[in-house]
Amino acid sequence: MPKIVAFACEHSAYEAATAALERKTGTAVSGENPRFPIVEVEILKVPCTGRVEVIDILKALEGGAGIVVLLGCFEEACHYLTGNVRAKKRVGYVRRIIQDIGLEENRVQFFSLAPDMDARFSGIIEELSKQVVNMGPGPVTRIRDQTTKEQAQAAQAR
Amino acid sequence: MIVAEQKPVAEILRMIEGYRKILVVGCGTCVTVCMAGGEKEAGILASLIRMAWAREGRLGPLIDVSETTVERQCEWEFLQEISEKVAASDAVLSMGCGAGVQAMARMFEGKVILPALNTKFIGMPERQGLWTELCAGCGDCVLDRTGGICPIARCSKSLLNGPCGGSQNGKCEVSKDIDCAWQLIFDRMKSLGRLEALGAMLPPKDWSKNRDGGPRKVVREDMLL
Ligand code: SF4
Ligand code: SF4
Repeated sequence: MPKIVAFACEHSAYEAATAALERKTGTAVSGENPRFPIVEVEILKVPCTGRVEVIDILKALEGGAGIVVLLGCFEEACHYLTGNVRAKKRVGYVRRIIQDIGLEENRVQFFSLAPDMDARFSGIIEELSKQVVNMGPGPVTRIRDQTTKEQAQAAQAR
Repeated sequence: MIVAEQKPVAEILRMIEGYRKILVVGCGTCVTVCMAGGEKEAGILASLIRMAWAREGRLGPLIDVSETTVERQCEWEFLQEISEKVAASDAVLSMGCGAGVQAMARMFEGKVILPALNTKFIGMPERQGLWTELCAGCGDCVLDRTGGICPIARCSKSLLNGPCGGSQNGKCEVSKDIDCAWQLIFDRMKSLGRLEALGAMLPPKDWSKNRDGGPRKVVREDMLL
């Protein structure tokens, strides 16, 4: 199942996600994705998107995410002043380096949210769900699935 | 400090083609500060390689890309610590500067050691995300006469006797983004009240202390054992 990993700032996006869950307008924080049941969504609460390092994003992709999204505050609204600006720049950097290995840049994205924007949150997840279905699972999941399939075939042949 | 930057990933991937077990080795000193080859960057590069290989269907039980970082790649003591990991790999991607790569190549005889960085210069972080060249390691420092501004590294033509005819409004003719080193030197000497020192007649610079005579050595007799 294609997977979206979302790093959500506890001051904005995570609250929006929680509200979306409560109002059942969108994705559950637990991983269910009522509007898009064929896509798994993992939401990780972070103190600020500025805390998310390049390696965290890459590890999420390596761990099988098809899309990694950072959901932070709007500019000027960051609780740590410029965490979201840094996060955006880091996302830009990761989008560049993953293209170097032939991955689509849209596998890593950034969106700004305010705590009361549960509808926008659901909309973003819905849009990303469509995208991840189109792009297919991440590189590592693909190879893992393939290896599992091959192992299963080999086992059957035995 | 030594300033370096990572080679393009495509070039690195070409370099490691044909090897199955790759050890990416970061260096915890200069290249950590210039964010080219420290622990973070080693993790990022190893992750990229794993994903690139996964895309090609190359990851499997016999294939492995891992990373480790030593305090300094250009000292034997620190390299000893990773001997076992190096022994278990087919090829090592060094994220140290050229000195680090070569130290590893000498320490681990018979092991393929590959450079993941392009070593650029001796310099400093100007501000977050920007490093500039300050010294060309000429072997015969003239900073006493130039107000602490290096004409070898910072003048595009390494002129020693004042600005060329292309210096305009304090900028170098090579690019508007480059300050004319000789303008900087003039301004600084003026502010130090030492302008007349620039008029002194000097013998030619002793370039024999630079590249002439092959690789250079520094010996401290009192330190030799
Ligand atoms: S190998 Fe030595 S000189 Fe080179 S970056 Fe590391 S500590 Fe600096
Ligand atoms: S004069 Fe030579 S040693 Fe001194 S800073 Fe310039 S290049 Fe370095």
